[in-house]
Amino acid sequence: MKRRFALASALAVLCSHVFTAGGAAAAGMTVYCPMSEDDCGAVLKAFKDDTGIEAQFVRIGAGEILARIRAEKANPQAGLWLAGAADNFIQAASEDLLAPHKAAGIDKVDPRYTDKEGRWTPISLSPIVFAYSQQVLDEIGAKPPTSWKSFADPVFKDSVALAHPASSGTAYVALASMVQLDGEEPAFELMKEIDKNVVQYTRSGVAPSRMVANNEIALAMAYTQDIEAALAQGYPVGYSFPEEGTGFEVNAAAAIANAPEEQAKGAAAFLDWILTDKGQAAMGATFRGPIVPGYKNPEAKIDLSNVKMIDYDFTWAGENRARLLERYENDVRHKADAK
Amino acid sequence: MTLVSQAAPSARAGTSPAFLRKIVVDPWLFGIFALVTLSVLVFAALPIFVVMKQAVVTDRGFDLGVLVDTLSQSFVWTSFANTLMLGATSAIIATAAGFLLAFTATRTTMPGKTFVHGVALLPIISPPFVMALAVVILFGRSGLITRELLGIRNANVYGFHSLVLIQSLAFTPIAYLNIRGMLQSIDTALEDASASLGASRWTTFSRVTLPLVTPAILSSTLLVFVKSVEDFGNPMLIGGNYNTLAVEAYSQMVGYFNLQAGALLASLMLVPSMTAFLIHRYWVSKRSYVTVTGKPSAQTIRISGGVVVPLALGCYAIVFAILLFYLTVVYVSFTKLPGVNNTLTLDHYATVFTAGFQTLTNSLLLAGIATPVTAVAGMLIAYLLIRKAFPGSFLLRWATLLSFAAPGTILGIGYVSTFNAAPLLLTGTAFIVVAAMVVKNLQVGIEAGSNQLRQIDKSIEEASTILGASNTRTFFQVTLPLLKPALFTSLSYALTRSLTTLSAVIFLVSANWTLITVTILSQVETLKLGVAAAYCSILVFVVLAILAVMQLVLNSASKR
Repeated sequence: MKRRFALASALAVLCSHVFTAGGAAAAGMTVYCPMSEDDCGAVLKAFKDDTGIEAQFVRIGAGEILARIRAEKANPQAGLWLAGAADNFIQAASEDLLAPHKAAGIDKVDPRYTDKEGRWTPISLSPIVFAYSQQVLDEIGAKPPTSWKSFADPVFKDSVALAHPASSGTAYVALASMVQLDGEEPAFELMKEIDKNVVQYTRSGVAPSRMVANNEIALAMAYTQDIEAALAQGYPVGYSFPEEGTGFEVNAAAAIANAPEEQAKGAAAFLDWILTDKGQAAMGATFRGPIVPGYKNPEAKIDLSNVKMIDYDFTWAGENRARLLERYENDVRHKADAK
Repeated sequence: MTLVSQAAPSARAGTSPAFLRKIVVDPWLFGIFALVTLSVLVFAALPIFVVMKQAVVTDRGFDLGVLVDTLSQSFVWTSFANTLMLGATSAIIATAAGFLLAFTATRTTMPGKTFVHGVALLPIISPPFVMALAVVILFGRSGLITRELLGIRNANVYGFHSLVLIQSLAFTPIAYLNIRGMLQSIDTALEDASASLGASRWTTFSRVTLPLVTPAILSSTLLVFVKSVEDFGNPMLIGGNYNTLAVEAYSQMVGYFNLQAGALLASLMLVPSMTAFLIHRYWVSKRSYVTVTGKPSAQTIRISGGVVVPLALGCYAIVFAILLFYLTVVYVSFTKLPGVNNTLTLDHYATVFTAGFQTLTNSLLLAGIATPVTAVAGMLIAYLLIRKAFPGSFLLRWATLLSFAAPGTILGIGYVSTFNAAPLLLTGTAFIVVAAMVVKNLQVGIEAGSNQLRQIDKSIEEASTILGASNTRTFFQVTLPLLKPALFTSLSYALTRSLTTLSAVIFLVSANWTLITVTILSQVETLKLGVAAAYCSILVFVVLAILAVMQLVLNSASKR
C-alpha cells in the first residue's frame, strides 16, 4: 500500500509539472518562425545579443502559422511572426490578425515593398533561382534551363518537381512571376505544359531543391537562400536564372494582434531592430537578400549583381492569390488528374 | 464445432426502469462511466465538431450553398475515390501480412520466432517520413537498388504503388499485434480437440481457428483502413499525382486559406471510416467468440513439418523488407551526403549530440504520461461498452471512433480553437499535447480490449460478483488481468504512436514543449537528411529499449 502511495504521489508531482511548466517558463517572447531551426535560432540570438530581449521560437510552416494564429485569435500565444512570404501576411492582415507597428528605419526601405498601414514589416528579399542536377541532365541529355519555358521541354518528362503554389511561397512567386511576365493566358498555357513533366508536387518549397540535390530529379525552382544552404552543405547543385528576368519574394515579419503586453513590446522592438544594420546582417547570414540596400553576405556563392529582376508587383500577387490559385487548381492540376 | 448465437441481452430491450436499475446496482461504475464519457466528449468530439461546423457555417451564417459548391467540384470526388482505393488495398495487404506473421509465430515451430516478432513490431516505430525517405533512397532515380543494383535510370517512385508499399509495411504491426493477442488468448483446447477428433490441419484451421480470430481480423482491417484514410505524411511526400482527401483537406485549409472546403473534405474522410466501423460492428456483435471460460486448458500442439516452410518463408520475406527499410535509414545517418557523397561519417551524430536531447526528453516525458492513460482508458472503455450497456454508451462509442477517424490536422486545429479560452485554457501547456496523444490513439486500446473481452466468458466475472466483490473490484482484479495481452498491445502502440505523432501536435507544440518529430520535420525540410536519419535512428533505438523493458516487466508480473 505504501509503495502504491509513493508511486501515486510521484505521478502527481510529474503531472503538476506538466500542467504548469508551460505557463511558468513562458518569460520573454514566443515567436512563430518558418525558417530552418538554425536560421530561426541564429536571428533570435543576434536579437538577444543586441537588445537583451529573450525569445523562444516554434518552428512551423508559414501556412500553418497562419492557421494557428487564426485559431488562437481569442488568446494569442505568440507575439511575433518572423519570416514568410508577404502574401501570407497580406492575408493575415485582411483578417485583422496582425498588430500595426511603424518600424523605425522603414523609410530606408523601397516603399513598393512596404505595407502602408504598417501591419507587417518587410525584412528581406529572396529571388527565385532555377536549380538543376548536372548528373541527371547528363543522363537525359539536356542543357541547364535558361528560361521559364525550359521547364516545359518534353526532355524533362518526369524530371521536374514543383512545390504546390497553395502551400509554398516559392511556387506561388514563380507562378505570379510568369503571369506578370507573359500575361495570364500564356502563363497558364505554359504551366499546363510544365505540369506534364512534374513528377511530384510537394508541400514545402524547399523539398524540390532537396530532390535536385539528391539527383532525384533534373529541375526545380527555389529561393536563392535554399540553394546557398545546399551548396554550403556540399551538395553539387547547379543554378541558373531565367533570361526573361526572375521574380522575388518579399519576406516579412509582424506583431500578432492582441498578444500579451510583454510579448507585444518584444515584437515591436524586434521589428525596429530587424531593419538596423545588425538586424539586416543577421538576416543576411541566412543567405536572404537585404531589404535595406547595402549589406552583402561575404559567404554567398550566388552572384546576383547581373541577374535580371522583373518589376515584380507583389501587392498585385497578394491580392490575386486566391483567384490565381483557384485557376491553377482547376486548369492545371485537375486537368492533369483526368488525363 | 459451431458458433453459438448469443441470446440478445435482456437489458437491451430496456425500458427506463431497467436502465435505472443498472445505474442503481453500479453507482460507482456509473460514476466512472459518466466521467469517462464526459472527458471523451470534451476532448475528442467537441474539437472535431468545432472544425466541422465551419464546413457549413460561414461568416454569413448557416450556408448550404457553399457546401453544394464544394461538393460539385470534381477533385473532391477524385480524391475521395483515391482514398477508398488506397485504404482498401493497404488494409487487405497489411491484415494478410499481419495474420501470416501472427499465426506462424503462435502456432508453428518456425525457427527464429523471437527475432521475427521483434522485427515485425518495428514499423510501429516509424517516425514521420522515415518510410517514404527510405523508399526514395532505395527505389528512386538515384536509388541504391534501382540505380546501383539494377541500373534503372528513370525509376519513378511517386504514386499509388509506393503508397501501398509504405502503408502496408507501416500498418502491418497493428494487424499483427491485434491478431496475435487474440490467437494467444484462444483456449487452445479447442484446436487440440479438433485435431484429436481426427480433423485435418486445414479443417482445424478453417473451421476452428479462423472463425475464432475473425473479430481480430475484421478489426485489424478496420483499423488499418482508417489509418490509411487519415494518413497525411506519406501521400504528401510520395503520392505523386495521387491525391487523397487528407492531402486535399490540408491544402485547402493551410494553402488556400479555405477553412470551409478543408473542413468539408475532412468531414468526408469520416464517411468511409464510419461506414467500415458500422459494418464491422454489425458483423461481430451478432456472434459469440467466448473461449476463455476459466476452465483449465491443456498445452498447445504446435504445427510442424513441411507446411511450416512456406509460412516461415513468407514471414522472413516481410522481416527482410522491414529490415531493409530501417537499415537504409541507419545507413543514411552515417553517410555524408546521402545519394551524392556516400563517405561514412559520424558528423550527423555529432550534430545531434551537440544540439542536445531536450526535444527527445520532452517527447519521452509526454508520451510516457499519455501511454498508461491511453491503455487503461482503452481497457476501461472497452469494458464499459461491452459489459455494461449504460444509457448513453453510444455517445462514448461514437465519440471515441470519431476522434480516431478524424485526421490529425483537424484534431490539431480543433484543439487550438477549442482550448484557447477560459474555462478550458490549455494552449501552450503540455497537457494539451498529452490529451491529443491520448485521444488520437485511444481507439486501438478499445479495439484490442473489446476483442479480448468478447472471448472472456462473463461467468468468470459473475463468479467474482456473486462471491461479493464489487463491480469496480471485479474489473481491476479479475477482468483487467485477463486483458493483459490486449493491454500490452495498446501500451506499446500508444507509446510508439505518441512518440512519433506529428500532424496533430504540430499545431499544439509550444516553445517550451517542442517534440522530436517536429525537429525531424525541420531537418528534412532543410535538406539535412543525415541529421534527420540520425534523430530517427536514436528514436527507434530508445523506443525499442523501452518496449523490451515493458515486455520484461509484464512477463515477470504474470509469473508471480
